[in-house]
Amino acid sequence: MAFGDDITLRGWRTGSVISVEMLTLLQPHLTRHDQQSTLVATDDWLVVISQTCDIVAPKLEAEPLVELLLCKPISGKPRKGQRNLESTRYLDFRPNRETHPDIVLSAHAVADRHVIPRDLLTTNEPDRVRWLDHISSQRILAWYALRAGRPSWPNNLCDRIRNATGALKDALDLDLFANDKSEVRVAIAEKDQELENGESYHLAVYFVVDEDTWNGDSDDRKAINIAFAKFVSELDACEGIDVNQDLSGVVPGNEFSWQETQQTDQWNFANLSHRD
Amino acid sequence: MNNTIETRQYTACQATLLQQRPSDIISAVENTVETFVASHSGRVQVVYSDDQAQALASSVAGLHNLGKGFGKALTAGTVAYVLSVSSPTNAPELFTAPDEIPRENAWSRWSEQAKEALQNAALKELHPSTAVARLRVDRLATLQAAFGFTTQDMASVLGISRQQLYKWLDAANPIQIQEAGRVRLSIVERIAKEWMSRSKVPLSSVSRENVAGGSSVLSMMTADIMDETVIVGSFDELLAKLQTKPKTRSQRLREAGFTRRTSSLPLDD
Repeated sequence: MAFGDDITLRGWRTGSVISVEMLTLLQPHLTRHDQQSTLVATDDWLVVISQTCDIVAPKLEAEPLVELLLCKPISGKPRKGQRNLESTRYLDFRPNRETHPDIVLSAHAVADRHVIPRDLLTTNEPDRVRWLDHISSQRILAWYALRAGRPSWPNNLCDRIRNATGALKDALDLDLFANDKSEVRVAIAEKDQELENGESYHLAVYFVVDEDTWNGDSDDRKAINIAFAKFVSELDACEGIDVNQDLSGVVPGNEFSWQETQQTDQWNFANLSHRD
Repeated sequence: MNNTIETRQYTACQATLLQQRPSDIISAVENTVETFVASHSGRVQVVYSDDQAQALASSVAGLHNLGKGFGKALTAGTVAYVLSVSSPTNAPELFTAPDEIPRENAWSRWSEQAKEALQNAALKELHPSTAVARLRVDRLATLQAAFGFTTQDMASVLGISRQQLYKWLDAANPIQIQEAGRVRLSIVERIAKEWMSRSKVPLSSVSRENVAGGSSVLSMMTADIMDETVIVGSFDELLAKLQTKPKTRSQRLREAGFTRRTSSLPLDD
């Protein structure tokens, strides 16, 4: 049997959870230089976060390692600022709404990430009771992708906006944004520059609206216009932030060009994290 | 918030109410006492305070509907501060009256103190004008939803500059729209209502098309004097043009089955 087939038959995939019986075997690998070995509690979820195609790669030498994420249960709901990819460092999420609807886990992107030899997966099967559902697995992959691919705005820009973050989130608290009916895009004239105090960042803000929504229900358009007014007002009130309102606006998606897409970043609160 | 405290709208009853307890008014607007607010008939907003010693009943008697329409009972210790909110686009004004106030420096001092306190309060989030400003933004958003105009076009339709429109759209900005602006805004709102009763599509889709008179509806709406009847009368013709407008590329794509792939993860709340 090919190496990858063995792993496949055992049921390993993205989102699998290391069983309690397997923890002793993995413990020597959950270490960091000059640090004590990471302790994994029985109610922690040690989750496989490599992509399934890498986990089941036919030859061991093609993918000798797999990545794990140690997720610890927390009480309550996923926390504001750490849920829904709002932070590139922390993630609070529900691992499986069907099998464990009351469990909320939390993890740190770097401190809780571990790498183990892939051949250890051939010695055991994953936990048969706990696993991440498809959405949670996708969320973790998207989280790491966002961390690597986000625009990463200048630290000084992030600092100037930080106090308004709550109000900006409130402005965007619309189903239209969650349902892909609208997207916020921001152009920053100074791009990656770290400006001194007294120098302003110049921004243009666009709320790009799905064409059908634009031509459809006027209540949706009204809600977006109110959100836009609030968002721009809050942003423009930040010291050292100058929103070019002549260029900003609410625009239908069929009129927002590829060129304009290239000149703007999608607004994401994770972009307000400081650069690592 | 007005820069000056108006004196013309003063009544004897309000004068008594305000004159006798200037420090209470200042405290109220500075939120240093527990207050609750009620609106009466859409014209007068009253800030009630519970921990004051002076009886209100006799002071209240002369004001229309005062004390009605709110859930909290008035007590002997309740004091009311009266603000005018007669128009949704106006910032509230503090009623004052010179006729029953002693003509001495005390009034001037109180006036200055009250004005300063009100101005400070204007900077706070819970300022009474916030609701008024939000209503103003709401009205403008309704217009933008109906028309879909650019900021420049919207400003021209309203007969104001772009910068003025930005201020109108800022709910934190306690501006007062002048009479001419209010009249024009009302006309534009009626036109928007007429268009929305006919079509879901924003007027901007056809606003630059020439109609029978030879000019576009946008040019008619940006004229100094708007002929509401002619503008609304052109809507049927514009609707016909809307029907014959060629489909966009994305619309044709969708009709051919190339629909959008949903990319977002559901929210994890």
